[in-house]
Amino acid sequence: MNQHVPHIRAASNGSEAASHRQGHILAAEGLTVSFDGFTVLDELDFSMEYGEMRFLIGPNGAGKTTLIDVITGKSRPDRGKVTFDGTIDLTRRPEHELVRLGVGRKFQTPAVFSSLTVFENVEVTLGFRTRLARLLGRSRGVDRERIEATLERVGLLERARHPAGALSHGEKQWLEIAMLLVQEPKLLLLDEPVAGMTRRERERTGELLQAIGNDRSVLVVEHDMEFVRQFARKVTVLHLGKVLSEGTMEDVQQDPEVIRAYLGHGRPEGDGIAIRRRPQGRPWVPSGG
Amino acid sequence: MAIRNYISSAPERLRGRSGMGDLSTRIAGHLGVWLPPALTLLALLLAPLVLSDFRVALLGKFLTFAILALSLNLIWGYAGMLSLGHGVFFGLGGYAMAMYLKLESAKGKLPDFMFWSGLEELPIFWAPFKYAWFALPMTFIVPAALAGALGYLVFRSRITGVYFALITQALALIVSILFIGQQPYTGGTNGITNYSTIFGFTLNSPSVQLTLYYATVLALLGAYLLCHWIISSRFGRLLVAMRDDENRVRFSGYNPAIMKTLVFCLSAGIAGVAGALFAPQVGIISPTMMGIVPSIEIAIWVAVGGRGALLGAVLGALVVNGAKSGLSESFPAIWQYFLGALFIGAVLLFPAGIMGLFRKENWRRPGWWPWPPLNVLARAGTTLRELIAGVRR
Repeated sequence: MNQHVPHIRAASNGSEAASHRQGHILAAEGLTVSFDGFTVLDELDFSMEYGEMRFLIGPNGAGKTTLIDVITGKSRPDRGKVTFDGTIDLTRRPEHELVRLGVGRKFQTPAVFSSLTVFENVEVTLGFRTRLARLLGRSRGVDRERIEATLERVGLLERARHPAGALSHGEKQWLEIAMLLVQEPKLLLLDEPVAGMTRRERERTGELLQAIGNDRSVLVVEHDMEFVRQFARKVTVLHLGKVLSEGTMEDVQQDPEVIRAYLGHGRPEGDGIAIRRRPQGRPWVPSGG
Repeated sequence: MAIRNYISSAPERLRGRSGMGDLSTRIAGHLGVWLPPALTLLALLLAPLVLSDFRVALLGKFLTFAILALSLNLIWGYAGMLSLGHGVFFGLGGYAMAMYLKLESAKGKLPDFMFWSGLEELPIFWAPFKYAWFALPMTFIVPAALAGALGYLVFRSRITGVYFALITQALALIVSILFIGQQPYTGGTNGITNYSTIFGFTLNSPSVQLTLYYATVLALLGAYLLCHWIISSRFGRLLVAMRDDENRVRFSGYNPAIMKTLVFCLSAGIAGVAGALFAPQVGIISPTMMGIVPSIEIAIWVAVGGRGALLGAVLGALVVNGAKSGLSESFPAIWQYFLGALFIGAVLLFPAGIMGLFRKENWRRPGWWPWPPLNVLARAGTTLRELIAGVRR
């Protein structure tokens, strides 16, 4: 809990130490989760290297969100364990402690504090390791600069004094990313970051993700295949609670198992993977995953 | 990078926050924050010069209610926790104070109601209350401790919203029944009354009552400043954040249970201090102050005054109680209808309370209406027309 909080770095030079460290930032072994007798994760093994950006895809009900729930302490697994940063078991701790260890999570539907301003939203999450007595004071100048730098990074600096409730859907998504970034998490979990965004917003989010990926490990759950194709380096396909395939997007698309799995769930479409596209342009409706 | 290009040079505009903004804007901002409460304070300080002793005593009682409303507003208006049991905390503070007053007036003898109930010795938990240095802190500590214990259990189980309101309402019922049932120790239905001195002075003398009035004004000021300090700190913004999305707060690395318990404790303690000021001024504290109905009334004061505005809670308590006593004197038979109309009006016409009427964003008015601050009347007309149309259909 008393970990060193590094200062915000320039997007480009990244943290060499973090990206070049050996071993796994995250390793799940034999993870099993079931709800009411229905197995959502089935002896799942999954791991990520330090500094890696991984995309997690799979048909509805594959267990993508459940995996993230387990990593962030929202669900407890029936069996198996999740090791974070080499030694820490994530499955026995309350949610807020995991965040303090360096696991940040963005929800499917944007979760921001709508009656606070954009600036205050980031200010609130920045103080997460601050002791309560200090929270009774105002922010220091250093913190303010850090908040502004983070807002600039996601392109919301101009909106800093607007109430977060007045932001557009896409801007809320960016704000939530900013709220996480300012905490400098070691591992960032993003659940459908481009859901409900326009094409232009999706492109900007993709660029933002790549910049973020230089600094830390990022796990992205995404349904938008066009987006995944454009920005993913390594993809893991989840199906019925197991890892079905793993590799570059091209490898995964050629995998006959993957094609079969997706065929059962949607219409074949284009490049070998059949994906049911989410309707764009209207508010996104969560559908488990 | 496209994202960087998207941003224009905005940082200067944000400097206002860091204290380097335009001087006149800053002064205007400070005036907006401090002028209304300062004027209220001035009015309260000068009130004894123009009001009769009876009115001042009444106002003093209302001011203890104002402190109580402040304490509820802190957790309801900001942190979004509606407590329907704040009468309990007020009552506990009042009882702690009344126990001291009773023992002081009894001059070493057994208090009268214990004697009537057949007790022969002072119960152990009563004994330390004969010392003011013990009783006075207890007016804060006892309610805060109860709130802490209850709050921690409730918030740890992630009970929020209406369920929290129901649990606190149950608390009001339980505690008032308990106090009624334990007549030898609490004075039962009658509560604790018939005490004549405070710190050695005669309680009924006008100068003592005036001193108590000013003590209440001071306590109100203190509670106001304390609440203001909390809500304008980062902790205060966290409270609002928990109201907006508790889950996001949890997944931002905070433990909401701890923070909610803390603010609930503090709120209960402030309510207790209000009760401690109530007991000597009114001369009685009884279980009727702790039941369900008075606890709901507190919420009404806050709603009428304006949730999420500190001064709103103060004004709400004063206006509702003032209207209550004024109307009951002028219209003994039908005054309750006026009060009912006020509450309905608060819900239909000014949901943001009295303070909401002064907010600019609520000044949107129908084109024909000339003067913004009273556009509530215009809205009343519109609402009435809609109601009539609804009935016709």
